[in-house]
Amino acid sequence: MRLMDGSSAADVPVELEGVDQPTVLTLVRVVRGAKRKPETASASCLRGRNWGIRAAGPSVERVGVYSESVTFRQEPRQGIFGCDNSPGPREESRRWCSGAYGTLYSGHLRDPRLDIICQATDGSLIGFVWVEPSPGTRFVAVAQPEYTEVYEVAGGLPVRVATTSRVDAETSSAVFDISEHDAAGKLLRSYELRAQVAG
Amino acid sequence: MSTTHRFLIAFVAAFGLATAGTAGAYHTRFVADNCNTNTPQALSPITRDSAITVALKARYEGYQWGGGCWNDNNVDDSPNDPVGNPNTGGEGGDCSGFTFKVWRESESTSNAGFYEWLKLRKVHGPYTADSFRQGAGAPNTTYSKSGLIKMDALASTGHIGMIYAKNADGTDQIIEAKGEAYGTNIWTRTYRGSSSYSGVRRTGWSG
Repeated sequence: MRLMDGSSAADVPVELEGVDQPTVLTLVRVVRGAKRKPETASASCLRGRNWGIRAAGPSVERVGVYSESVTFRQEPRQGIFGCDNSPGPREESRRWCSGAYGTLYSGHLRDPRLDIICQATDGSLIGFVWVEPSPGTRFVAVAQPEYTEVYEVAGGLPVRVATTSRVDAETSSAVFDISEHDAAGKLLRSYELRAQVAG
Repeated sequence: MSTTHRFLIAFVAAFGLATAGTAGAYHTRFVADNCNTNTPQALSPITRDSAITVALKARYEGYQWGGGCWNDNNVDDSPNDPVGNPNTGGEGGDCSGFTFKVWRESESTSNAGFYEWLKLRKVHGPYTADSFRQGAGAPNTTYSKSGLIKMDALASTGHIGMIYAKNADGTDQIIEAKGEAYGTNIWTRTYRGSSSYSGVRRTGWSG
């Protein structure tokens, strides 16, 4: 299967317990500050959304089948922020169709900061949230209608995941079917994450 | 005090704490008992003064994270909701839901039209404070802070409030859903002078 950037998805290196659908490993890059060259996704996110806040530490860039994201930690560590992208239409040909900011309380988000502004090419909404995986998690799996997208935990940051289904514009909410797995693929927990646009 | 008495006090205290833990699942019936999901009526463009009238109906009402439904009795009907939980069923909007509703926007980000969201219609809309700050959505645009007038907004990554009136000293009276402890009201703010805040305008007003 191809990812949004046109590359072929690599195989998930282990079998994920409890995941019955075909799996697609999303691409992840951890980018150190010094290497944020202007052409990187991280640099364009910082440049394009006029954040007015400073990034600290590495950023994490992710590419899925219908999604792309960058996540930063805010200096001095009171928040996380980043950009979301999809293959669909957006305003003014912007590089990123949306983004999100979340305040950290004792190092954690109070809610997953749902973003439902990005769209697929057919106009359907794509929902993005940050998942804070439980200790020991190496892979976060998100069930899509016909496959399961797998995100590798990286950079010590929450994992920005996307769903192409169960996004409801009327209630400004989305439901994510998530499972978390250790490095050997063992299921640590599975749950339905119900998120609401807020704040 | 006897050992038995001390034990009883400790037991009661422990039980009380355990009960308080259960109260973490706090939930009011405000939304369930009062709010609806009726289809909004499309409107012709409205004036900024009309939007002020809409906003003032929410004054003195509550605040609900992810919320967007309130009455007009000048009381927070669900005070002290746990913060940051959109599922507690409380009264009020949060900052971005309040703005969305007062600006009478569409749930579709590509639609710049006006929609009549009545006060008891539970709706938040697709925008966060940060997405408003970016001018996301067809009706919204970023705008120079110096040119902002009534019912334009000032937004940061985590908060948005609308200008109710401009003060002579350069500050503004901002109408905003501020937080669970504060509810929705008008306060004098220095957002315009803060580098954390950007100007946002809802376009298309009729006057």
